[in-house]
Amino acid sequence: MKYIMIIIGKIILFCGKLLHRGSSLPGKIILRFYPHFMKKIKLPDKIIAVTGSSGKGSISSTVAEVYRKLGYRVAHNVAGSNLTYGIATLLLQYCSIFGKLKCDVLVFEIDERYAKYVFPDIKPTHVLISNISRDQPPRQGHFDFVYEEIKSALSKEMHLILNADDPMLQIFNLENEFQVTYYSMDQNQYSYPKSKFKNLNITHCPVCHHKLIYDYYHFETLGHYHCSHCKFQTPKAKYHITNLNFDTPTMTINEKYVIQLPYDMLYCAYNTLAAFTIVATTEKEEKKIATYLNALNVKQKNHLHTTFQNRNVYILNNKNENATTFNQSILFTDRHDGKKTLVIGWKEISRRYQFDDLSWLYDVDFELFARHDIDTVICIGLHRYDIATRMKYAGIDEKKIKTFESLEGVTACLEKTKGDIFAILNFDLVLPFQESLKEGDSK
Amino acid sequence: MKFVIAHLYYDLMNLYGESGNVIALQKALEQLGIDVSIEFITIDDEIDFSKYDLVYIGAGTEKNQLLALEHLLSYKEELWKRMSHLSFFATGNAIELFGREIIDEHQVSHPALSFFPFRAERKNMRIVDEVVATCDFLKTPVIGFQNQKSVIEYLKNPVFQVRQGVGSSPNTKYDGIMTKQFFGTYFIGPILIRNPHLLTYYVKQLVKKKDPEFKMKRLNLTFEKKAYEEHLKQLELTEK
Repeated sequence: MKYIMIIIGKIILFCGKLLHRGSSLPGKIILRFYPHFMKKIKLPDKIIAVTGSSGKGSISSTVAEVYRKLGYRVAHNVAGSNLTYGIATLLLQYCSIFGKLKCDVLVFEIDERYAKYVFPDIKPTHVLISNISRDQPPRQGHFDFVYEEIKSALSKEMHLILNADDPMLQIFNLENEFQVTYYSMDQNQYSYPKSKFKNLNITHCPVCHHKLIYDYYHFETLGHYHCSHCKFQTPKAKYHITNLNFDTPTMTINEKYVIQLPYDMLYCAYNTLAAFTIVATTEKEEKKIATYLNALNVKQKNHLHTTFQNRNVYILNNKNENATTFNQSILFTDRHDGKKTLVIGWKEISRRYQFDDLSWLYDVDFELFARHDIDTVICIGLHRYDIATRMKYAGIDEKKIKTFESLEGVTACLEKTKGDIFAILNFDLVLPFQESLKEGDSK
Repeated sequence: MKFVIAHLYYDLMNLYGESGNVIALQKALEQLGIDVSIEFITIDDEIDFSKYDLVYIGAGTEKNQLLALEHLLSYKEELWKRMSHLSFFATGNAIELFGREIIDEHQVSHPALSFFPFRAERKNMRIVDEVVATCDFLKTPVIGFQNQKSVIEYLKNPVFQVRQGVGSSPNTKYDGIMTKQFFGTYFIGPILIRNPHLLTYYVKQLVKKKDPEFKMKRLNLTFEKKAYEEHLKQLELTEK
């Protein structure tokens, strides 16, 4: 039965490739007719799972690439199909007809809500949980619910890799039941003493519910914290970013390894450190890992920075219904002084469902713009007036706010504005905006 | 006139952009020439309710809701005494704090403030939906969003008739309570911003309660109105 199903699955996989059809369809079909497929596959000794609200795609791709550079044969769901069917497709892709995975390391990113369906069959040796943020509330409910979903997927044999700077992640190991390797970022020139963000996932100690006190913050709830009442505090990390420089942009791990970053954004530093920690936890070749990470990051092209009529343009890719991605962009913008023009917008709120939930827009701290010299705010899309309203309540003068139903007319408007341009866009508007800028600039 | 708002549990009951309602009230009252101050209060703080005109609480996770409830219950008697002077505004599952009890997912009852006789019960599901509701005092509908784990089966004199969406419980088709002292609804997020006509009405109620002679003037809610009209247009398109 197993062999026949694998052969059929591989034929479907082959046909799918020929027809350029969906990346998870073969997995869906094989699980439909052979539900125990994943359980029956002989897996390698090293199985790395990456989950969490954001960063899992980029972290798992980096980890897979570093393992390859180290000489391992790696299986990885590179297409980003991170639900059950996608993982089944990944196994189908890499297994022999006898059901043995032809690789030394299996690396997979897994949707935070689906880990509980996949981990019983594919038990990871190492699990990295990148973060739990405010993400797609209509689908996720809220962050405590996501925590419960991930927690239910874990078993104590799994080695966890966690960001020590995030108090929310410490809840996974309050009972000290897991082996955990922590990573962290030391205080640096970009850290700040008082919280810049208001709508946070955790502000009180998960043990005794007293207020958490921060020595410094890096972003939202990330920073160095301790409870005002009990012993709960930032755990001791094995790997640290001991230096961070966004001008170059580079980071240093444990004062030894200088690594080039693809973008000058905080999440890039954390994702790179997360990838380093995963591989360094399973291998002993820290220096090599750092060298490969460095080479990998240098190769990546920086899509963020461009120019429009000799003005700097920063195009920041965000995910609607995820306040954290927008707050990252705001923190990035906040680092830059001088006059600014902001462009904010999207085509649709969500591709998943018809709902127009806009509450997340008020979880984003646009108020940080109030202290900046803002020339104009351009709001684009069907919800342009909702964005305009939000900007008004953030303290921006109504006269500076312009609205556009689509990108038509936006570049002409930009020509009349002043200062560097910060385009804070949902991913569905990033490429069209880039194109319209190019067209506008070539006229 | 001076108006003081207590934003209660601003750091625990803030799941769905709830702070937008407080900013909306602040800006609207300021447009009327009223001096507004906001105090942010959490479970570590002691509360002197005599200082406030309005108490606002937003939606929270199930865990945080019970933390807030425990803290708030220690003020139950004082709140009862101040009922006639204070105004309360609750969105999302904060409305449950003012009922008789909250039944959690383990069927454990958590007694609440008992301002109202309803009982909220957590279910093994979430109600997530876009809402369009009508009420007696507004000519056009109220738009909102629901994202809740619990339900209120029976609500006496509900304020909203739900035309699209679920209501306080599946198939009830009603939601919310509005009295002279209290306005509560399961609708989450910045409903006062999304509904400029509701904001105008509610602000008038708050101000007139404090000073019946106060002369109202028209609020500048240009963007808010355009956003609202755009949503109504989209809803009509969806219906067609």
